[in-house]
Amino acid sequence: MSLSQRSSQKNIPFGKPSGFRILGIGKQEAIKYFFGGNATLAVILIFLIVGFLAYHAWNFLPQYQKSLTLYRLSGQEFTDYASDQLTAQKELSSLASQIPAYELKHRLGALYDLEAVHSDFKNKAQKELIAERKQLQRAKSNLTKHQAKEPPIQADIDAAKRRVTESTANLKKRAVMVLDGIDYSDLENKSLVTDDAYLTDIRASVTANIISGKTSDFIQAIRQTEAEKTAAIQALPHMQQLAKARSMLLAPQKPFNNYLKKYRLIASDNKGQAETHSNAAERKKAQLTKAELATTDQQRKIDLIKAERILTESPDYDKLNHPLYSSLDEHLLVQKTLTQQTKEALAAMPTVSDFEGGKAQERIQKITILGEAFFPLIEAKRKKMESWTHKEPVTIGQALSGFFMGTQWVSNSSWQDFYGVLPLLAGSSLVALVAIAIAVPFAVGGAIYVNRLSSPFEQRWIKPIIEFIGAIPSIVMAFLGVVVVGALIQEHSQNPLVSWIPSFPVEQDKTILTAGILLALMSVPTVFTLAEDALNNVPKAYKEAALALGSTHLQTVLKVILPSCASGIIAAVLLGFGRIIGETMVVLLVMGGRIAIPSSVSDPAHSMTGIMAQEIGEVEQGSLHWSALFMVGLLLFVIALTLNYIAQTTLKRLSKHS
Amino acid sequence: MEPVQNPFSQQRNSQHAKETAVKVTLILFTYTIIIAAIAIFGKIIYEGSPVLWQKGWSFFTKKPQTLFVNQVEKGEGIEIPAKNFEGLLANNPDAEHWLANVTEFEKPADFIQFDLLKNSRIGSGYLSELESLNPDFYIIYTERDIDSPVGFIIQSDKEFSLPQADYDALKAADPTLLPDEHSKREIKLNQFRITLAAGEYPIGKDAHDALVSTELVFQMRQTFADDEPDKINRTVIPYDQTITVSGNVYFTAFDEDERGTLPLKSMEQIPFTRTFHDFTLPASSYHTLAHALAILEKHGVQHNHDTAKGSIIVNENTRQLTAPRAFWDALTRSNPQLKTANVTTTTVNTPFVRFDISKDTEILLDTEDRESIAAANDATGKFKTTSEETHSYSGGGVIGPIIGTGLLVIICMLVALFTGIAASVFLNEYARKGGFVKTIRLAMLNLAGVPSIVFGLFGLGLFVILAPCVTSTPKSSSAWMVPLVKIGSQPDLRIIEQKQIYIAQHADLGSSELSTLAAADGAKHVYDGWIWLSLQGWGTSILAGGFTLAMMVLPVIITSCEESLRAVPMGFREASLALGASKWQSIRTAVLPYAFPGILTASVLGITRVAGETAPIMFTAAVAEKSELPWEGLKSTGFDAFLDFLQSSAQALPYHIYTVAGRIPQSEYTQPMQYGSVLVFMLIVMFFAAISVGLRIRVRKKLKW
Repeated sequence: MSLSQRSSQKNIPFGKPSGFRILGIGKQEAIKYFFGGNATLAVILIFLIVGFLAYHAWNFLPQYQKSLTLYRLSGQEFTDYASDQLTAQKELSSLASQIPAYELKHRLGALYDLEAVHSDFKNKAQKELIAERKQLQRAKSNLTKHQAKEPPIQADIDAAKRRVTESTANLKKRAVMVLDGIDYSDLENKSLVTDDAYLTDIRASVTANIISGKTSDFIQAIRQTEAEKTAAIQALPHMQQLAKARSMLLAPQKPFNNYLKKYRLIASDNKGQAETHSNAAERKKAQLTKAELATTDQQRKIDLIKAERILTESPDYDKLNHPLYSSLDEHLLVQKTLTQQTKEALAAMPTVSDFEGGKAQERIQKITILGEAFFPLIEAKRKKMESWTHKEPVTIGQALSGFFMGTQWVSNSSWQDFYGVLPLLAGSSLVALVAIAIAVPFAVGGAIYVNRLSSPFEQRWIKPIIEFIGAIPSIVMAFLGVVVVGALIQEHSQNPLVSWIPSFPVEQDKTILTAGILLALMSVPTVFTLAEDALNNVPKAYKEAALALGSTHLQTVLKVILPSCASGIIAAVLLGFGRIIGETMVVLLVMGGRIAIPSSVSDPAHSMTGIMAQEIGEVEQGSLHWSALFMVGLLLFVIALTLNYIAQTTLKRLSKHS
Repeated sequence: MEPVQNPFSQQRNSQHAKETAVKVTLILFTYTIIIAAIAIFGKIIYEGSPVLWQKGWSFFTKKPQTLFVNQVEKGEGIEIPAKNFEGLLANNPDAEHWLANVTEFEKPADFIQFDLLKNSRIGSGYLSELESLNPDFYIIYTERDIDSPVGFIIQSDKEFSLPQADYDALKAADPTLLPDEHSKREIKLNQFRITLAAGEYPIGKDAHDALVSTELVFQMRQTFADDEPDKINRTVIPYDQTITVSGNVYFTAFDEDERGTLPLKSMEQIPFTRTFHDFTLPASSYHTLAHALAILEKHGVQHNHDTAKGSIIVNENTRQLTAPRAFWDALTRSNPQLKTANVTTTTVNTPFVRFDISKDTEILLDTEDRESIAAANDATGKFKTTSEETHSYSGGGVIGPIIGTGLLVIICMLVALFTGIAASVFLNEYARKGGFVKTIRLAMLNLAGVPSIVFGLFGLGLFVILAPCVTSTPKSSSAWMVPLVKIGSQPDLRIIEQKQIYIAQHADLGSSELSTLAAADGAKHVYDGWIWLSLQGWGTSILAGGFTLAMMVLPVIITSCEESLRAVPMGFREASLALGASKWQSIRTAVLPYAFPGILTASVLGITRVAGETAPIMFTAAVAEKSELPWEGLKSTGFDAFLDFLQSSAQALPYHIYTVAGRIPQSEYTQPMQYGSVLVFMLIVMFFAAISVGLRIRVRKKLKW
């Protein structure tokens, strides 16, 4: 090229470097330092990120400590112990309440959901038939108008009647047509049980119902049979037993609840006073400053009165909490009833084998497990109540463990806000584990196939396609999860063929499993590409030696090459895991957003990334909630960085070896 | 490893079967991925392309807006502007079933054209209406005039009942306005002089609210929440007090029979009379002074003047403004000192469509179409809706989000390429192996693993609320500011009003004093004649979003730029240096041009990454609802306008999808918008992804040295 020409035109070789010099730094050095400065940006950026996260998060601990102190001072903590007891008992009763419906649904089959299916069909059809129904309505009102006329004109009435008949016929024709187009697959609620035997009857019944507006004979007959069968099922001894046990569980809840209501009110009042006092001094100062800056005397006078109205005297917590301390005897009484009745109810509970429905059995099992844990919990809480004192200060350590070990994330509550990261961490980790468990076989298997077994032609087009998956934005994946995948999984998990999979059938469309499947697909390209690189880097000699020793091609791949690049594949999996745990949009939209520690993969859950995306836009800057979210960010950053670091060092070690 | 099988033994058959099974499993795994990918692309194309087909170009030219689902009764002779008729057709593919007698016609409307002359006085409300009617018309006024007369219109005879004080003030301000006949009324009322004893009392919310406006000093043990009107709290009266209160307050706060009132030590009634003056103003337009109008405005006179600040003085001649007749009438009647020239009336024919709806049906309409059809048939009442549902963001198109995403990508790539190329040149050309470079590489590797939402938090913390600005009018909420240089040209009045600037009286106040003064004044910015360096952040803006994305994509850019620099053979540099070129010259002429294709690939790769990201822009740049494009409605000119543009928020495609898929209730009416925008988004992202894949292959093939 004209390289030499160009440079000779532009400068004089061997000429003295002219130009500026500042502090001994010439043009060339300046350029070098400028470039160097830009490169340092990467390092600065890491420190800036840590710095900013920490800057916004550091306030969290003292603020949370203060908040928990108020929680203790006001006696809310005391009443919450009792409240926990009731919650645990209520979980038992709610499980017991769910069982009859599941058992009925299982035993009745399609009959159970028939009316729901019917009304779904009707809603769909009515939407299509707006014009025809309106026409009929108008014809009818026209007829009544003519009939009401004084004196009645027979000719008009006849004409009106004819129009009513015509409109009815028209509506019927259209209704039949529309209903023929509606199928079970159009149902909004995919978990309804359906039976093809009823389809024709349902269509006919809906048509009749739309025209007459009355309940059709079919539905009446169905109701009759359903009622009879339901009564028969409910008369079964184990169902009777269950109903009795359930009412025994429910009975002691009322007195306990009354006790709680009474003392929670007191605690809540105490909290109000504590909170008002907690920022009184600051408010007074601000109001006095405002008075100083006031422009008119009138305004100053008002500001001074406002300042004087602020009460800075501390509330007398001993007096405020006195009713709580003296409520212990009352509590013992209601607690006794609660435990005794619960004990009797659990003893009266029918056994698992009595039930036929899988979900009913599941719940009975859960009752047994929770029932065992119930009594120790009651005792433990009672002990805590007895030893409780509002005077014990909350330490920074307690605030810290409240964040890392807390099982509740409650914000904007009128009672008390809790910022425990555990449910979020559990949701994030579980979904990442599910995703990686699904992704690894596919990605690594794919990599082995493409790298070692496939033809060059296949290699040429499979790799770009997988790269394209990597380019699908996460929001598109999330969207597909909301609109398609969730419903698909929910629908197909009802299939008896897959009922052996634990926690199937899935009851909701937005669950950890749905999000996990989508995240698995998203992480496939990362894991695939890295695993393929690792396979590629295995020296050729390994393969040749193995083949020469007489092993088959597949043996070579699985037993020689794969073990020799195992650390590379592990690094790939770790990197994929890190990518997934930091993913936001899918977990935000597809995981259901329930803040509780998930017990199975078919539960909805929330995640660390999701909570930040969802809440930080609506939080006041610098508040406790704000800094709590930055704490979560910091924790996520540390987790991602650790995973990344381990993966990178594994990779590095690998590249040194080969 | 287990002992190797004898290759010649008979076991080979079972071995073979096992191997086939493993191989089939591997093939299955591979192709499941491929099928999943195809299913995703297929589903989006299958559902999205009908939407694009049906909505046509309007999907790319309209802004996102609310979709109205109307149940409409059949009717005849419904009129709609022709352009909105197209929108109606695009939203209702089943229109052929109920649309009949479609005729096009021209509908005349009167418009007035006029020149607005210098030194006209005009009310603020009228000026802003005039500006919204004439997009190019924008004046930066410098003065207001409180003394010039203002006009107001009374549509039908209006009765006034003014208390004595107002009546006297009005009489002093403008005696001519008052009609000769008026009647006087006297009402006897009581005031109460009450004494409260010191102590602690229960108090209800109503009593508390009534007492707030009095001079009583009472200290609440705890404040009332808005949602508990029946709550009784405790209050402390710190010392004995005697105050005078009106009857209202007395009966709410001290009435013995009510719940939650305070007990009194003593009470004394003080009777007094209030006088009212009643008169009627007949329907007409009136001229008066601003502070006279201020009194009447309290009694229900409608107008668009700012009675506290006065009329705006127009400071330049403006040609060829247009206004519809109705507004022109209101304008001239309400602004007596408006000077105009070259007033001409033109009749403009707007193309309209008249059609019948042959049966009761459901019609979907975008907001703009809905408004114009309602306006066009308001008088005739022929367009009858029986029910109406609204679905936010489900109507219109995606022009706003596309533009927003484009701007974000451009800003991001400008920043990222600049620093990225510089950094890679340093790493590849200047740096020697050692601890420093190692640290940088380690930092880069780790940066690539930081979750995108963390970058979002970082961007929020740095660019949105703390980034530095150099300005003469820093925000009063600024975290930290230092004065740089004194200027002394005060911003124009309009700017001061718009940005709510507090003008400091002394030039030498400290930053904290300035902030306090401005906050006390309720202003958002301060001005004291200095230019400040202020850490006030860039707000939720495309600039902050672009920078956040740039930080995120930096490792990708640096790595791939470096790769392309490394591909340039050493000989190029050596030859150049041997010819006497300096280091920088040889990089500039012998290295960078040959690395250019690789850098291009890097930038396209970067675009693919950033265009699809949602989390980093969620709280740094994107907003769900914005009716204007970023450069529309900027209230400034010149370089300021550019800065305002950079600091404006925008919609973005991924955020828009998040909104329509996750934040609004799902229904069949929201689905077309969802699939339409997802398809458009995927087309854009996949276009860049394909380019980057293609470029990479090309570069690798072509550039072999």
